[in-house]
Order: sequence, then C-alpha cells, then structure tokens
Amino acid sequence: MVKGTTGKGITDPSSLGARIASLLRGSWRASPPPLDFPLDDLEILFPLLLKSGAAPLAWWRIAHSGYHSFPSVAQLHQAYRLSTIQALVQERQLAEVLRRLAQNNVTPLMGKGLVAARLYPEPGLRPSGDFDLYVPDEQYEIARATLRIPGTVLAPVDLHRGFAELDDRPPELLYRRAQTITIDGQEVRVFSPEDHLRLLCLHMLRHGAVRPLWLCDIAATLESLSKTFDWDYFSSGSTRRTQWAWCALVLAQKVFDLARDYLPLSDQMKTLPRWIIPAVLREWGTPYHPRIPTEYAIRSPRMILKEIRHKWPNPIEATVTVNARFDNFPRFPIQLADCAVRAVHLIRRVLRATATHTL
Amino acid sequence: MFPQKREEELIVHELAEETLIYDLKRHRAYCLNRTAAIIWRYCDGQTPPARMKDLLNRELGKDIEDWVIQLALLRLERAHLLRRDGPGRQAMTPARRHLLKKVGKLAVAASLSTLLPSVRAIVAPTAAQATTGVTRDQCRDSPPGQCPNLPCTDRPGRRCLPSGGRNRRCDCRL
Repeated sequence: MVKGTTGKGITDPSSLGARIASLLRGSWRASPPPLDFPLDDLEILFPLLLKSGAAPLAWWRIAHSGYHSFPSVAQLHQAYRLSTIQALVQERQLAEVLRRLAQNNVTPLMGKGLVAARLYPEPGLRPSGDFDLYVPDEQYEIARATLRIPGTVLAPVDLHRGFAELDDRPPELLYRRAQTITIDGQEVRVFSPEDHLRLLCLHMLRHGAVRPLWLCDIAATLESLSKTFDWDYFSSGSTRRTQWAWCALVLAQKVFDLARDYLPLSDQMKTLPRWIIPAVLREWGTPYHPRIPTEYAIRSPRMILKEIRHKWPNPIEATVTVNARFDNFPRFPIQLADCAVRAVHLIRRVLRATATHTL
Repeated sequence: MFPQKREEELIVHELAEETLIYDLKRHRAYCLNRTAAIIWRYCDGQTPPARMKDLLNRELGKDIEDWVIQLALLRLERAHLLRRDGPGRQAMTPARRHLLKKVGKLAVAASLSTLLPSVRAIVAPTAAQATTGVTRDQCRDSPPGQCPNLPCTDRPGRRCLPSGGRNRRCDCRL
C-alpha cells in the first residue's frame, strides 16, 4: 500500500504522486470510497490531475465524499463535464469512422481509450483523445487512405499497423477471440478481455506509466474480470512481455491497495522490484515537460544540461526499450543503454542530414 | 408565445443535477442547471410560460416568479437552444431583455443563484486532451510550428516535433 503524506506544503514529486494514488484509489467504481483525508490537502494536486486526464476521476471520488459544492473543486467538475461531452461526441465520430472502414472491407480491432472507458460507471470519467484502431498489415494502406479523405474532418484516429504490443500473438487468434460491441449503432470488434488487459499493461509500461489513468484502467479491468477469464491465455506469447504484464498487474494491486487478491500468482511472484513504485509515483507527481529536438539542445551548453535532465529516460520506459526484465537489478545501466540507443539514432540522423546537405 | 426547443444537431446528456448539451452545428457545449433544464424540457411548442411556471414550481417545490421563466428563455435563446421559428414566437424587446439581465444580476447578488436558471457555456473539448500518441502521417499533417510533441506510435522512441529547418514542419524525431 502506498501511504500518502499529509500537509499542504508537499512539493516533492514522490509525495505528490503518493497523494494522487490515494485520491484515485477506488475512483473507478460506481460508488467510490469516501475520502479519508481533508480536501485542503488535495488542491496542490489539481494541476497535475488536470494535465494527466485524471481530473474527472478525482472529481467523481470527491463528489461522492460530499465535497461537490466546494468552490475549490470547480476546475475538476468542469473537467468532468468536458470529458462527458467529449465522450458523447467521440462516439458519434467513431461510428462514422467505422462505417467508412466497413465500406472498404477494413475490419479493425479497437483497444485502449474508448474500450477501457466502458469499464467505468460513466463514459466521461475516462477521457480519451483518440481512437486506437489496429489493423493487419495488409489492410493498413486501405484504412489509411479511407481516413485521409481531403476536405473531410474525421475523428482523431490512432491507426496502428499491426497489433503493437500484441504482435507476439497470431492476428487470426486475436480476431477469433475478439468480441463485438455497438457504438452509436455501429458494430466494432474489440480485443478479448485477456488480450485487452495484456495490451493495457504493456502499453502503460512502454510509456513509462506516466499517466495514473492507465493504472486505473488496469485496476478497473481487474475488478471487472469474469470467472471465465483465461489466465493461461493471458500469459501466453513472449515470456519477457508476460513478465512485464504480470508486473503491471501487481503494480496496480499494490499502488491502489486493491482489497481482493485478483492474481493467481505465488507470493514470490507478487514481489515488485523495489524501485518501481517510487518511479511511478515520481512520474505522477512531476509536471509534464515538453521535450525539444536534440538538434536544438546541442547548440547551447546550458540547454544540453537541461535537456539531459529532461530526456533522462524513466526507468520503466528504459526497461521496455532495452527489453530488460523488471527485477531488482539497478536501473542505471539500463537507462544508460537506452540513452546510448537514442544517441546512435541521433548521430545517424545528423550524419544523414549532413550528407544530404553536402550533396 | 409557446417556446420550442431545438432538437436537431444537439447531443443531450442528463446528469444528476444538471444537463449537458453539445451543439454539433456551432461546436459549443453548455451546462444547464436544474431550473434551466426543466424549463428547456417543457419548451415543446405547446406549453405557455405560465404553465411552465406551474410545472417548475411543482418539480422544485418552490414558488418561482414569472421573470425566472423569462430569464431562462432569454438565456436558452441566446445559447441557440430554442427554435427561432417556434409557433407564436414573439421577439423580446431590448428594454425587456435589459430588465431581465438586471434582475438576474440582482438575484445572483442576493444569493438566489441556486434557483436561477443557468445556461453556462463550457469550453469545447479538445481532441488532443488525452492523446497518447500520433502516427507519422498524423504528425506530418500537423500545422507547421504546432507539433503536438506526442510519441509516434509507428516510430518507437520518436516524438512528433518540429524539424530543424526553416519551415518547422512536424515529423517523428528522436
């Protein structure tokens, strides 16, 4: 369990992250648990919650604790309203996208954002900026052309060539296990619960678990699992990725202190690397810093130092990039390896650009 | 005058204490409080304001005055949530509008705001609010100088950033 520190003066990212974890605990439920700490302590978190997309969930829990009329939570309330409207508009937009794809015989599988949002009691609690549609390699170009008709504004679609983190499973199997849901009168295939949970876990880790919403998705999925959930199938595929996915599940269980034990794992397997929870909380408590291209940064020594600090890879992201295990081995060499990979890419790009310029 | 609500090109979602409306034509979002939402619901082109007042009093269990209905209709009309061609619609004179606005402000000052009809515009949702990534195509389609700085989903490890060149076009970069 993550213990939140009390007091208004908290500024260090880890303590802020711990407060966010406490605030979001159970917020995905129809009746979230009432807050067990004063609202005054939370105001410092609001900018972080608004930026990370977790504000509607925070509002949901605060409102269910009887604080809904407090002026200080007006911002969160507004975010909740916006997110609700956005979800309704998106459903219509998505239906249009799916209709067009169906006309061109493209059958995408949908995952993440809008699919995860269905686990929450209200659609607006889980904002999503775009629709993640996955299509097999051979359908990608047709799908892309369908969605890029000049002069028309379609919904924001994140069209994936292949099945991203699930590419260690045969596409036929993904399709065979997929389920059909209806969105605004239009049918769409979504990943099976096993595939989707694995996708949520791996996607979160690939992006360094920087958004608390992703861990809420995993916790909400765990709490909604049916008895028929096939853990053996969930664990099939790449062994390394399976280890990552289990790690993400244990992380959700520990960070949000889930009451029931959902995971069919031995106690030994339920131990997390000791660095991972502090790394997640530090990310949640850190405001997002936009990165600038390295080519700009290397023009000034001051900027180089600043950018090295901001571009220093998150240990979770680095572990995935370098394809390492989530264990107690120190992350520093892995983070260095991640930097080396990036540096090689940068040098190659600079050399290519220089060669083109010379020619 | 039998006010009639606009129903086409609107998305309406009722919450416990308020109603959210998104205008697909103007891309504006509104939040109606309970009083405004009840009055808007009765704008069916057949219910006169006097009858609306009775229905509202019954639903809220309060004694609401005529001007509250007029104020709600004014605010709904300003938000384009009433039909302009509703049956028997009469234009409101500028003097009456002015008076209603004044009354509304006075009532807020007198802390009667919970019973007052409120039709608040809320900022339209931005698509990029919670996007986790863009494809290289989407990145390249971004307007120059307004690159979203999001991870490129089909170019692992890269982000959508401006190029170093003079035109600052967006592309997936390390």
